[in-house]
Amino acid sequence: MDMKELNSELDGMIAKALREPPDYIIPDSFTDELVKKLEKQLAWKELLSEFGLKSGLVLASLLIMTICLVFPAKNDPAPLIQWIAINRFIVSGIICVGLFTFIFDQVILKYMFRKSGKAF
Amino acid sequence: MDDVALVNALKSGNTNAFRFLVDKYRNLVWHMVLRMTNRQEDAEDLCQEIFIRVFKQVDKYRGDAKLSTWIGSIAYNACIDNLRKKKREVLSSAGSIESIDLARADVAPLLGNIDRGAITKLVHRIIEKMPLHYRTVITLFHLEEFSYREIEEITGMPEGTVKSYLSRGREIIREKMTELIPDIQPVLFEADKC
Repeated sequence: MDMKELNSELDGMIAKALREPPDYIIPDSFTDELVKKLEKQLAWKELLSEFGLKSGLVLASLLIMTICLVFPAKNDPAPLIQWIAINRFIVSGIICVGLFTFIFDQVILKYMFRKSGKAF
Repeated sequence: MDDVALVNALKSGNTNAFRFLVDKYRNLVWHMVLRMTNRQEDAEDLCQEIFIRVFKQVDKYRGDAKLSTWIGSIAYNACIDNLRKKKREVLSSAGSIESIDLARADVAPLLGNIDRGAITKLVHRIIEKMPLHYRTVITLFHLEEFSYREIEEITGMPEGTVKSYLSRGREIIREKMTELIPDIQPVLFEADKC
């Protein structure tokens, strides 16, 4: 076997080695873990957008209700604003509790049920 | 399931289609990540990030390139971003092919018993030490069997540059092999006889 043949043998072995994958192989659980991760992300996205939509609807209803109550009767809104200002801690507390309950019920609880595989 | 049906299913948010996609292209992404970042530790996280990116950007896939090429380009860009973020490698310049630092001591265990398996390992070690663009192009061409044109689409490098990286890369592997194992040719001759 001359030098030329040896060189082509070496080239052949290099070409073969280049087609071999790296030693480290991807873990078997990779697909399952990734699908779970995606499902989790999609669930959060869905629940949060649902929550945003429902919150928007509630706020819009409250706003319409306030407008309907205050403006047609031509009531002066100043006493109402003053009352809110005086009781701001109670009002903001009620809003926070309402918001937390709403988030807990509409997002966290639903997510937990979904995670445990129960229908809701 | 062909690529068009797969993409349509993904666009409708089907997670079973996503599972199919991951199973089909996970080796491509895994090999690109391993070779480009040279790190096994966070390769799995980066692969996950790439597939999530594929899922989120699937609406942008127009079907004018093969799905594997499109996924390859997302993987390529994600690896570049990752390397930039971690400042692990100067991407633009440096990385001269002549500066490959692979001492005999680094590969001593492989040199003890030269067989075809050891040669494969040695070639892989040389690739690891190559600059980013060389090892990327070599991986895409030899391991994933993309054409020059497809590598151009994935990496954005002109076809001529791809060819040049490939040819110079193979040349340097050859040079390094004969430098590390001066008597490699007689060894090959012996292996051939067996």
